[in-house]
Amino acid sequence: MNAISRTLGRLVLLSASVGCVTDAVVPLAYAPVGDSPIATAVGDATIVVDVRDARRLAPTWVIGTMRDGMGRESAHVLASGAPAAAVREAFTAELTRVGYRVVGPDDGAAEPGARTVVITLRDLWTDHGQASTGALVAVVDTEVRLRQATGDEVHIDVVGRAAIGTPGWDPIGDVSNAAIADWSRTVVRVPELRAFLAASARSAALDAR
Amino acid sequence: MLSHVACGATIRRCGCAFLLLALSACAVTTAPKTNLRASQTRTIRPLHLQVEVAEPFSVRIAREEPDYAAQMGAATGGALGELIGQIVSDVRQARADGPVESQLAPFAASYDLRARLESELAAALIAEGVEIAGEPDTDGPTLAIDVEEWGIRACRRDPERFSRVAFRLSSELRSPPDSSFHWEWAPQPEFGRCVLPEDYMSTPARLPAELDRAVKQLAWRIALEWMYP
Repeated sequence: MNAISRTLGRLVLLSASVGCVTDAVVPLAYAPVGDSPIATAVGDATIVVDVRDARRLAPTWVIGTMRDGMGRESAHVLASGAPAAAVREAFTAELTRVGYRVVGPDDGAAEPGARTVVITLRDLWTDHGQASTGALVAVVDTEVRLRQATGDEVHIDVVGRAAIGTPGWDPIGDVSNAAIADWSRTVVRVPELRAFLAASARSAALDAR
Repeated sequence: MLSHVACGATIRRCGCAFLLLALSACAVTTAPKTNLRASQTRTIRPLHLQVEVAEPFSVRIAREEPDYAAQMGAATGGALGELIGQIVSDVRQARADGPVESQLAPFAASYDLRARLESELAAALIAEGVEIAGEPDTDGPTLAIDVEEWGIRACRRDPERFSRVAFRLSSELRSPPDSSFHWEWAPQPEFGRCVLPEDYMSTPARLPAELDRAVKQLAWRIALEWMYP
């Protein structure tokens, strides 16, 4: 099926080989799907979430490239909002739906006992013409630091990836959002994060007594 | 061998090209398709595990790069031109990966991915309260994992140099106790930091260590996709 998609995509690209000449602006959005693997928070468990954009590209709104029928980069894929904000929104949505309260780093000072998740966005990129694994490929690459109230940290690398559709037929924003969704599903299934959140919930429950 | 693999891929593509006339549209997704709920997965017990690894360790660095030989061929010769271009592209990219693959393969030669993944997956599922069947039973509910590809794959930020551990797999629930139970998942996950192939070569223990770490994360991801679809 993958090969069929690619071949179809190439034929579509080639038959319309005038190429892409205008930037595509895609809205980044996330909605949780399915059951959450995170234990429901007990008490007022607050997590400070700090997302930093460390992508090497500027301007930061650029999140991908579009190609013409010959594979040449012809236009940008632009996010309609800050990419780091989209990642933060996805992570926050997963936490809040099971009862955690999420605050930003600016509000973290008012939460002295709260644990902090620092997400460094190393890459968020969509390639409209990546050949070998699908017609549209998007990757979200992050380093996630789980910081205890004591200051101790655990580092994990979390990558989200999506390869969908056929150029010209599927909205390019779909694959960007699919990669964010894959990243979000991945990060909440990392054992270290689940243990971290469970410990936070236990602390909050003890404080509530 | 790489040329062999490339030719196989090309033959498949040729077959696909003939199917083009019959197919109007298709799409591939990494998202899980399921009608199972978390509460239902807990009722399926004991669960059998079956892990199969179809291919040996591979390097996909050049083959992850866009190669437009096919498009250029098509631009000059239509569908036939695309097929010829694709053959050129496949062989060239497989050959480009060949030297790195032959250098790294010895470090992964003794790595028993099947046993390792099965062990880690069982541990993850048991930790989540899933009852795992001790004896194989083809008639019982089976969580079947088919690792179609594993090795290192190019990182986008510098695809010619950096890579990390990646998998392509399909997984499904076979012989479910109830026909309404359906679960399948076919991701292409990547794990760890992007490193240079030379780093694996200079430190022989690094690749097995990276694989170990990635397999553990993969096992947990599979287990928790299954537990919380």
